[in-house]
Amino acid sequence: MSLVSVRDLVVRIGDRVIASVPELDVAAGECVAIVGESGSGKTTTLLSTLGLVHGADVSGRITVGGLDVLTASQARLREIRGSRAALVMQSPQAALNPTMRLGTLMRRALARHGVKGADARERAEEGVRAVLLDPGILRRYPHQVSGGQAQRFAIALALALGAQVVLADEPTSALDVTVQAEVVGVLRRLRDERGLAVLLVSHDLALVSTIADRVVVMRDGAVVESGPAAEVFTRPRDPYTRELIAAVPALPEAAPALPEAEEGA
Amino acid sequence: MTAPALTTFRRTPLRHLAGVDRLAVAGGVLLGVVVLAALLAPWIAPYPDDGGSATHPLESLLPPSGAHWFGTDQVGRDVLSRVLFGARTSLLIAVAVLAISGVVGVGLGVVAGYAGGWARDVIMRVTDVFLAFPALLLSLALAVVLQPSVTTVIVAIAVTWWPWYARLTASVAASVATRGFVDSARCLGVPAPLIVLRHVLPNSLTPVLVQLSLDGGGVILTAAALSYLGLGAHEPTSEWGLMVQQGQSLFTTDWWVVTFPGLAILVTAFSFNVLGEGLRARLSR
Amino acid sequence: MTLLAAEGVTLAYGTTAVVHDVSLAVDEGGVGLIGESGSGKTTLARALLGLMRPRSGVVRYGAGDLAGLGRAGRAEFRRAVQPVFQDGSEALDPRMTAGASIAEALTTHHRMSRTERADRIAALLADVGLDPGLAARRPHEMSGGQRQRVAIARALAVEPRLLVLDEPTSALDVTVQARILDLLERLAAEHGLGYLLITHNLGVVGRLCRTSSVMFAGRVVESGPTGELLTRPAHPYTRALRDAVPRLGGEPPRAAGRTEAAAAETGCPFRLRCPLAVDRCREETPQAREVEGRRVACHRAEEVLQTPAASAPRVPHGGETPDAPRQ
Repeated sequence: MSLVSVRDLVVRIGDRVIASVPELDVAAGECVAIVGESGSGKTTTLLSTLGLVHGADVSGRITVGGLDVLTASQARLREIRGSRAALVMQSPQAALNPTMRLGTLMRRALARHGVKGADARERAEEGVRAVLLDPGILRRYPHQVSGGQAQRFAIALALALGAQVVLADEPTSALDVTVQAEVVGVLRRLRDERGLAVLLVSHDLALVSTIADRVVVMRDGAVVESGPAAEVFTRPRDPYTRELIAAVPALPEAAPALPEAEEGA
Repeated sequence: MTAPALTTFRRTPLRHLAGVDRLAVAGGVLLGVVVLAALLAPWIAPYPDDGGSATHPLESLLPPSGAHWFGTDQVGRDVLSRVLFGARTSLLIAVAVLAISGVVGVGLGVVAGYAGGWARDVIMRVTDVFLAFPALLLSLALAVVLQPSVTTVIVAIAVTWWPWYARLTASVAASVATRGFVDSARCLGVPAPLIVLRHVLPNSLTPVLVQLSLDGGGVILTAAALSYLGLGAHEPTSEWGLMVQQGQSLFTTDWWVVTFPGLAILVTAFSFNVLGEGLRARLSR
Repeated sequence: MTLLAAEGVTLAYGTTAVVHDVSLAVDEGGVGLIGESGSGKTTLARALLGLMRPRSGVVRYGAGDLAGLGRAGRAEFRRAVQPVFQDGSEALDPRMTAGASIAEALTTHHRMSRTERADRIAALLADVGLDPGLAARRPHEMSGGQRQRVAIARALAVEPRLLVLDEPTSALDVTVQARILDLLERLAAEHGLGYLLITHNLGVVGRLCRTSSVMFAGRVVESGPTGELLTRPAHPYTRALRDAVPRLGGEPPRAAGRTEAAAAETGCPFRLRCPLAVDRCREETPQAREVEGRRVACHRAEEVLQTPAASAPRVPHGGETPDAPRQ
């Protein structure tokens, strides 16, 4: 069953269509990536699924965890954001209150969703471990952690709140390449082991190709191509997709063959 | 009746008011009216001679009427005419103070901000010394030492006013100096004075312009305060602060002598503030 | 011929040194400088551009020390070496039109008549693939790619011999990135320009640079022919960088070891993140030495070269990632 389902989504500002997506589904244990450049409407599409687009007309049908987003009350939407679907943004440190320890942030968020005391502590530590962070990080302030740690903490927060869907907007583009790999590795693992649904927005095709099961390519607000990732990347049908793929700077292949991966990625 | 203002007004929190833009327009229009009044005073004042030393002993302290809309003062001069001429004095002081302190403050500030190092340290320590004194007290002390006159008022206020602009400009210029286009100009070999004039100054000016327009009201209030204390303009010059001082003892019996110049101060100071607040809201968007 | 070189350069902000004893030469042709944020690569670029004085060491331009250049020498240096920064919107004065920005570069060193200037501006804009009509636009009226092209045109206006490109494409969309790289490649060939390309993107360096250096924590840890560095890294850090780059349709990238660990204060700076670290790495700071055609600062470079795969770092999945406190 789809945890996120979008049908006939059209987002307009005045007469201008800034995003138009006829169909988009994300099932449990699946990663769908929306790929495109600035102004393509990819972020607008992502934000629409949480009812976070302001100052624009949104029409169509969007359900997240079975709940109709466009007709839901604000209170109901707030409940969805967090307990069912969590947003991970480009610069998580900016989104974390700098005056609070990460543990306090986590506890407050849990309390808002009715989880308190020892339960809350357990959920917090469990969430943090699931993203390969040491629970000691809960004692630190946002400025004391690196960008990659902050990003993984944001995912941990989503997990602790019981989110089944993670909506990630360029989650790695502010990070160094070595740290990127960690964050994506964490998302991949959670998808495989916990059946997390991931909707990923990115302009980085190479990165997307290492995690996405399906890909939606957007340009100027419209979907130009979509399909299974392997197919889109090996046999792109749309010329724009081909241009995007050609633009990825290639790395010379390593001379010595890499050994078998010792664990499933 | 108390003195019009014994504090200098530097900031007015008007931003929280709704419809800032409409207020800004209102402020601009109001200020425009004051400026027009000042410029056209010799032609629109019903009794142009009353702006100066004319006396009409037989018509002293007449209440407002068709012939004298704002009434007359102790020596029979038309208050409306004197309020109109007073606008010239007040605006002259405001413009002169803002120009002098703006040029000095912005000039030193932009150098301090761009150069950094010891140049900034020296300039900033000097401004700190000036800022350490309460502004009005320093103006008062200076005005006491100098001969009371409009020029004295201008000098006395400008001396306490410029450090604010120096400090503001220095901090803005310091951040502009780290921008890529400044580095880019340095890499071209553009001489430092040209970099400051061409790139740093124009890009540092916006917040200073806003502050200058906000401060117009403060200057007028301070000038009025100095004149009120007898340290500024003196008879027979038309000056609002002086008129308030001369009329205050008559407030209970002949209220018009003090009320109209007081209102003129209020309206002008208010219009400067509203305009500055509006500019700030617009430019920070 | 070496145009510009850092020799044993140490750079500091206040008392914090961010670049330690780095040597790097830029000759005609492309040289890459690879590093992650905080590696000191941009600071080194500032020193090479003469925007920052080294705490110790020398920035050499031609035969002379940059710090000791006279007025004429400095003017010549300014004409010869030009930067292109990350973001065209930063590098162009927001109050100036594209034409005025380029004109500033044209008239700084030469007098020029108005018509001659207009012709040169049009020619430069055409050279970077822009319509000359764009001269009247201000930065906010242009796209990111257009701004970067204007910044390049401005740099070319003084007919430099060498460009210092600091992350010239990382603020741009991928397709625009590719076009800007094409442009830089063509311009460098046409004008016979040398360039130093600073980036965190290994793919970009692989395409545009013959030789490259890798920086970690303010030190050059490996330098040599770019192809060699990328296909057979000799330093564990280079290897970690390489393995972390996602490839289209390739295997998932490897996380590069304990990325949160700070640079070590003593011994090898990389040792807290290094899967191959031994006691010697703690006790003795590795000096750069010649290993199979490149210079590398690692005690175990031969082993990295010989058994790159078996010893490649991996994040211990399932285990905890050690967190070194950051200050």
